[in-house]
Amino acid sequence: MTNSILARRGVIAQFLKASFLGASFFVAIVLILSLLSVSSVFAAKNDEKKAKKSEKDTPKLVEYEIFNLIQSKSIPKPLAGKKGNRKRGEALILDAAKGNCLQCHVIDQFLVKAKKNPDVYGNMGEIGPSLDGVSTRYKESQLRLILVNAKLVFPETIMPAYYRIDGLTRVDDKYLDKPIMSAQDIEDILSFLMKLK
Amino acid sequence: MNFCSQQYQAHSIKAHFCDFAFLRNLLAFLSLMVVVWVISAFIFSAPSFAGNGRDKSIIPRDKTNPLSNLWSGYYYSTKDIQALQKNRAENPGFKYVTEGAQLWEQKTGTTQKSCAKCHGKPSVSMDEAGARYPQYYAPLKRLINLEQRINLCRKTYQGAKSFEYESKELLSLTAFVRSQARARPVRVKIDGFAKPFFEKGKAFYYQRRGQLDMSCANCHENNYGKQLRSTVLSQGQANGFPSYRVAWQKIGSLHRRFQGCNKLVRAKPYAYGAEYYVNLELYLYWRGTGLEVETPGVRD
Repeated sequence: MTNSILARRGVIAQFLKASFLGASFFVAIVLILSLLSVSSVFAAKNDEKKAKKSEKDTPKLVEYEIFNLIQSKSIPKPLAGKKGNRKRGEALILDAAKGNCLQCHVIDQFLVKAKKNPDVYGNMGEIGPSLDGVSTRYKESQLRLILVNAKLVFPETIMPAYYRIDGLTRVDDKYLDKPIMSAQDIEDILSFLMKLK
Repeated sequence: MNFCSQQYQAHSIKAHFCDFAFLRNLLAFLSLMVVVWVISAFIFSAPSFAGNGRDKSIIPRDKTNPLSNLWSGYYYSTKDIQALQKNRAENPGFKYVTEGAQLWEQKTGTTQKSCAKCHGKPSVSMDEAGARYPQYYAPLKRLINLEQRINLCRKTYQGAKSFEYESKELLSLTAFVRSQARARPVRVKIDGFAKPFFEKGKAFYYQRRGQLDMSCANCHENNYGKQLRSTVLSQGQANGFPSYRVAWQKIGSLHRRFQGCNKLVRAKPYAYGAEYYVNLELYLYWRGTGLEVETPGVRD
């Protein structure tokens, strides 16, 4: 019955014959895929059952935090024996040419000021960790080293070494043989950071 | 097991399924549906191949690519800038592309030849160049980028003076040629003669430099997508260049962007077209293999 129709339309019949192989291949793949998905659903269900069981078996532990203290490396004495000025330190932190800390770090106490003056305090960066409570995480001597050359503590860090002139590559002539900040600047910023609880 | 060998009633459904012709027609119909589906999928997805920028990432085929997902710089731009790139009429980069098209037709040099004289229709002859450069150039035994290729053509075939790097003419012509490959996936050759240059580009990428002592990877590999004050760090992909940058208020080359990055970390920048930068260009394009060419992109 259908054969006779096909015979009359020779071209279509040829096309249909040619596509028969491809089509059967496609159907086979669809069948295999559907079988696979069905079996995977069953497997997932089994896994869920197992997971539920193991949850019941193991006793719950109290949550705890690990503190990674770096005690071995620090600079105990103030650079050049300078005493830090907290107010100057705050200005240096905001200064884009000096500390520029907000480029990468957040300091929560500036959030209120950010609403009034977004150019100076707004859009604090999210590359480094928040500086809130930094004085509780590090001793002053450790923070001093991190400011001077953070790579001695975290070798892969993006943070620049603020008091270093050697071992740098292709420094622009304008900044050659100059540290980003002076010893006094480092101590000023440090005194500000040590008040961040 | 041959259940069709049994005798069934004439009009039963089982008997119908045992009819070979019926099965064949059914499968042919299914295959036709598949063909229609594939064709319609291509037709309906065509607008997303236009190279206007995509909101989706792609996964690099090359397993050695350090990035797990590739995002064009378009993705990290603000909504306004994305809209500017998407709209051909408003995209300020197309002004330069139009000028580049005029330069393409212009007869110049001692031979009074135009680009079109040798290359013919740009949409045919230049359809891939934008996705394939930088390339190794045997006579000079080094890598050259598209800008340098254009200047070589001017010198050797047109007998004309080469355009100055970052001049309006060279930027326009480069943007025009590269825009012919719009929506094509970036695909640079990094093996064979290009390999040592690729390795040098890679070394440059991971070299810390400047007073701030940062490498490209510090920002664009380890921290992309994060806020850096008012901007968001991108992956540093090159697929939109030459790009119109709002900060420049004009179109600019990738090398100008390199210089900007170098200056930001307080490093001494290299000259336009410097070998270091061309090597880095190759490495960057390789990192973005598969991303669509978006030239002229719009960036902040």
